[in-house]
Amino acid sequence: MKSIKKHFVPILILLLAISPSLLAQKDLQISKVFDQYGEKKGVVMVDLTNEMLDGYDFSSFKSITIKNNPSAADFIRKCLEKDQEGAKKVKQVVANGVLTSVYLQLPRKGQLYRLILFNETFTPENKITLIYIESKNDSENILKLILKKK
Amino acid sequence: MIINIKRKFDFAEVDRLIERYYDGLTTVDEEKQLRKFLMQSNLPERYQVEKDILGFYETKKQKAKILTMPFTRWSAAAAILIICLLSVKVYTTATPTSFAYVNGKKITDVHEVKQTALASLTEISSADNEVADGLNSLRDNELIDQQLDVFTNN
Repeated sequence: MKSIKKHFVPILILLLAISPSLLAQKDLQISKVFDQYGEKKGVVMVDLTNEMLDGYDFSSFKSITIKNNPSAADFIRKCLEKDQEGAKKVKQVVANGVLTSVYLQLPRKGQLYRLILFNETFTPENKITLIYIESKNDSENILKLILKKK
Repeated sequence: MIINIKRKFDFAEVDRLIERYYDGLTTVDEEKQLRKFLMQSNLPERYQVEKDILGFYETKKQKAKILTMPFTRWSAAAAILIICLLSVKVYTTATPTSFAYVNGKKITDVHEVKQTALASLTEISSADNEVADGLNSLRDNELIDQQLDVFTNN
């Protein structure tokens, strides 16, 4: 029985050690946005894992687009306030005291560079876009690539 | 075999070992020897107490061995391994690697999912132009006004 315990504990530790790497984004507040709004009407959510996306080499890509939902926008802004602690702000647009656009370079997690992109537009309709990216490529290169492809 | 053991042990030597045992000075090896000696049948009566003490430990050890039969151990280990493998499989394949939700409807077609992802990326990249576009449109308006002014002056 002792030997079973002896082997069971390392296996359990190994499983617990693997799981966080699979869910690197789960430590962020914005993960709640995907969980809470992802499957609702008027929302488009994308979850890509280890896919080549038109020249982008992402380990993980999550995006959510929410239309005409001001309360969701407020919730996202609150989440971003927490997630931007320790992150580098590449771009920030504040209109009438309200954050409408922000690009955040998060601290690296292991080998992964992590980015959060948020944008809110009001014309022709209110639309929020939130993107979370994980990649082994430098986040600055990813940003350049994204912004180049207008 | 018993005869051999008996031959190996000298009673005086055994007495010395017993004394050392009670003093807590015996080594593991010496205790093994003592146990071997005491497990024999037809020993002199004076060794009965030591036989009871060490014999008790011996039977207890044997019982513990029965509890951890190799078959039980192996089947338990196999069961744990299967559970672990199944959990990893379920964990990694519970959701397809890439998917999208559009108005609550799940999409798993990779091509469609990628198109949706690109669309959201375009939203961000086009938004980056907003300020520049705004300034440009402002310049355009100024230009139009200047051009209209030409007509109003006439």
